[in-house]
Amino acid sequence: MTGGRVLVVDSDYDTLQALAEAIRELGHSVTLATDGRSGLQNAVETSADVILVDREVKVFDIRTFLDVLRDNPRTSGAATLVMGRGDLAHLAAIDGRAEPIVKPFHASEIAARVDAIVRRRRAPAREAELRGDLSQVALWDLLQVFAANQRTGRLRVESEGAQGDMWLRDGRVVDATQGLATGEKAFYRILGFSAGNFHFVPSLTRAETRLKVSTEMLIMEAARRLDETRRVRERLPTFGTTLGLASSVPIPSGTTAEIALALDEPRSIEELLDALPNHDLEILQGIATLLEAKCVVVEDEHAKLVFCDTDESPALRAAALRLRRGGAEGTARIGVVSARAVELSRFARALGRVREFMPSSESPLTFQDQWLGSLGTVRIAGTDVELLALPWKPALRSLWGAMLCASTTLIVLGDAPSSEAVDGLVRDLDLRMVRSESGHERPPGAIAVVRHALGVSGGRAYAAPR
Amino acid sequence: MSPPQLRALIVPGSDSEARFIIDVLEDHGDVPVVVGSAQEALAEISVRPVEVAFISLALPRGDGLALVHHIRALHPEVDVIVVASANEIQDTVHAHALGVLHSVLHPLTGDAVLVAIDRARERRLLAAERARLAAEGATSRRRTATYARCAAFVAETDLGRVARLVLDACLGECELDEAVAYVASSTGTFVETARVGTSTRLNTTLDDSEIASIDPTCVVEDRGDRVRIALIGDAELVGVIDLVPRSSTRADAERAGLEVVAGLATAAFQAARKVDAIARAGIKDPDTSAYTFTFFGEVAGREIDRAARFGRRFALLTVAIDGLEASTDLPADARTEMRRVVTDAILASVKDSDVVARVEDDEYYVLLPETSLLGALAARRRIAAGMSALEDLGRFGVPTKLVARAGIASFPSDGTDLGRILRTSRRRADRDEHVRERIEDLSTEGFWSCVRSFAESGETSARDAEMAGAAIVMPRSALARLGSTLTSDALQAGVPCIIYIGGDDDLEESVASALDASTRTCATAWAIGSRSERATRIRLHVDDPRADGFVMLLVLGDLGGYALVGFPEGEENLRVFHSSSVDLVDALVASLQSEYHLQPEVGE
Repeated sequence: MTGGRVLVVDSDYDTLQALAEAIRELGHSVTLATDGRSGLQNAVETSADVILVDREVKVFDIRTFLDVLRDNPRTSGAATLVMGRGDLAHLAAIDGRAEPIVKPFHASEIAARVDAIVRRRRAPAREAELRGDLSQVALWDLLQVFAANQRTGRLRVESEGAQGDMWLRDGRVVDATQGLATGEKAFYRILGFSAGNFHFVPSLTRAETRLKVSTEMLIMEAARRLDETRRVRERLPTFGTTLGLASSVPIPSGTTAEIALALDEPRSIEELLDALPNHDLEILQGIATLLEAKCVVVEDEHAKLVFCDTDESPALRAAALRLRRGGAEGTARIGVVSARAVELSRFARALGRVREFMPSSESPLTFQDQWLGSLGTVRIAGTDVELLALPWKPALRSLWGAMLCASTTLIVLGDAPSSEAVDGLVRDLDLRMVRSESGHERPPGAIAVVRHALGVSGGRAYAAPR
Repeated sequence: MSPPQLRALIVPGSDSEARFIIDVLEDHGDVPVVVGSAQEALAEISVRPVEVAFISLALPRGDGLALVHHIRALHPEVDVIVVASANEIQDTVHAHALGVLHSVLHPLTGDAVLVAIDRARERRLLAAERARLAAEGATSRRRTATYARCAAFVAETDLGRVARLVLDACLGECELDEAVAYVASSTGTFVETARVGTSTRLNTTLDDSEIASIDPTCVVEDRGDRVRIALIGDAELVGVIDLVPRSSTRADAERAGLEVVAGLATAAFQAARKVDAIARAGIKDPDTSAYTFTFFGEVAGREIDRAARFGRRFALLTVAIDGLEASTDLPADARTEMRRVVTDAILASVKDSDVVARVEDDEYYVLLPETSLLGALAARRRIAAGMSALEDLGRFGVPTKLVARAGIASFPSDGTDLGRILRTSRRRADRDEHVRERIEDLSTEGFWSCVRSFAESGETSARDAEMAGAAIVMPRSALARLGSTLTSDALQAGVPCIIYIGGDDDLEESVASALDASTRTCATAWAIGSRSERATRIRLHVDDPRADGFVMLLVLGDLGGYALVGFPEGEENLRVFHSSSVDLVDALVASLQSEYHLQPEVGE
């Protein structure tokens, strides 16, 4: 972007110097004037993009100065900023179209504002967000196009109730997250999505660089792993199947040993993939080995449950929109808290068995044994309801106000004791509290809790058709 | 009136003298009592009082003059008539000097005795008349004092002031431990409007059963330990005054005085209510340039309709002024002047398009059309500054500066009906004590000094932790996630938001990235700190070493706020203070802006 033309009119030399220095540092050309007459002359001559003028401008009255600027076709398009001492509201009242700047000011801030104005005026049309269907453009091709064009941004891929993010910097994938998986593991998993949608948001960056290898290498490795995975999956039941450890069978060593350890309680294959640090292929191979050796047995085989019938989805969608505070836009959000973090993880796991639930691409933050972050979203007739885990500890409850300022509902899981402090906070934040003491750790119970939070009772959970 | 019959003590000098006097007195209906000596006379008077005494100066066994002495000294109410002979003129003169009423000389005649006894009778009548007139005078003076006390409130038009003055008048009538005046509120409930005494035997409201128990035929109902005065107007009960007297019995005069007060208080309450109703029905408050509550309600109703139809916002401020308590006892003119000064200060702090209504002497409602929470916060700061800038308030009895406590609620985020918005706003005017202390610290000690003390404040109570914030240790990695989430939330919600960050490059990058990813420009973010290699275009360079050692994330938007300030603790962790109290976040933002001359955000 070429620099903008900026005119500053002020009788104070120190102000002129400070502004000129700060604005020039950002690459714009600056013309200075000390009175209204020379200011107007310079404005016309330079056809300034931005004009900063002191309200006490000499020779002319400030309103006359602004009127003359607006009447002249060469200056009528210029953005004007009126500087002066006193109250912002009084400065703003001088002219509705001029931005008020209160003196004394921080010159860098004013320069940054001027820069933003020039950028808005000069910048080419914003890089468009890119959306598409994976059936039309394969993810492999998409990544190669981004690499060729050196694109920076976030690529979100959604497929069959799963969501994953890839972060690109100058065409290279620098990080990936999918559920609890990060880095390479997440990258291979996302590349395994065969159907679904993608959404690329340019400019969105992240500081972490967990993928050090080149994207080409990663893609080749992913292709190899995908073929292998396909072969292994033929030997396995569906991912929702719950596996358990067979008794009286010795635990083998290696990855299989880690799998066996993770099966201290029955888990689905999906959960095992998230629970272990190894890549999915190795875990699946281990499970296949354990199943064939009869060290592991299939406990049950459940299909996903359905959150709501098609005919009630309009009503639920309306209920979801009502979860937002008046005047707020964006995704509706429900806060979820529990005195014990394990309740949150069981709730999230139970929701994982719901067809309309999409786990968050990034796992919640954990600190002080508390959770903070999105568990995922329930999509009801195209409207998303985010379930956001919040910490229960009193010292961390300030985050409730920050995270739920646009929300109206809070779910309390487990036997969290009722206290005056919590009730007072909920009252102050004007939240509706929905309690669930038990049952939410199972999918039908989890569905019932979310439906209750939506203000809808009744309904029944049933298995989605395969 | 028939002449009074007198009981006459006779102390004769001889039997014949006694018989003569007895005959005369008995013939005229009086009651003679004869005693034989001075001692017997004094004993008789002590046992059974007499009105008149006939004392002979020639007593056979004692000195008559001495008895006169005794009776005048000990029983001055007894009229003394001396009976003397011609040779006792000296003693007679002496007796007159002692104040005897009359003297009868020997030889006795019926007329002479009659003249003497009639003179005593006449004096009795005059004394009774004088006592009656004196009692009447006392009653009249008492009644005049009662009316004088009532004069203080009969012309008053302010209900609260009338109630206070009526209680003062009741205090003048009898000694009280406690007194409360109840006046019917707009909802029909009788609520305490004025109180005298500090004990809490009397409630602040009267329930329906108490109102039902009032006897309309008995204005002053004396129940011994309680006195209830029912102020019954044309067709309704306009007020009730409950008194707790110091003594359980009351004189007639006290009861009569209370009845006078009750009558005049009823008239005053009715007049004050009428004036209040007229003032409320009008558009402008008669004493100031502010609007009335009725008009405010209409404007707010219209604004709600307009805002709902066109998707606009507005904010409502309820402003309570602390420090005006002393002005309630000012004369009417001075109070009006005080109201005008305070109202003008508020009007000068808001825009012409804003609607200011005076609800009470110390309470105002301000409707800010097309204004979001950020704009309302700015308006609140201006009103607070305007109040504290008022000078020369000593003439109104205000000892120190006035303090404006304002609560903010906005449409539609805090509700869509006026009642709910008003309730929310009033609730928020009462700040948490810890928040108030921290805001005061910020105004006196400055931003950087306070954020360190906040972060080092250690353990806090559960209530404080939730309402006013808490000091915690958190992993540094959480900071960027928090910054990114809060920025994205503000952008998604599409409401104005100002964000200040500092002390962490990852945080800066995540916030800048979230801003770049959105086409919306409602959120503005600034990173405060020294130059760095990873600086983004939101970085504001400050030459301040204090800024380098701290981390900061301040988010103040139209839906709420969050502040996190602190410093690194080791490589991985941060020791921070965080709070989501909008008042505190606003104070922190204002303090930071003032520290580096940053532009205040208005959102108006």
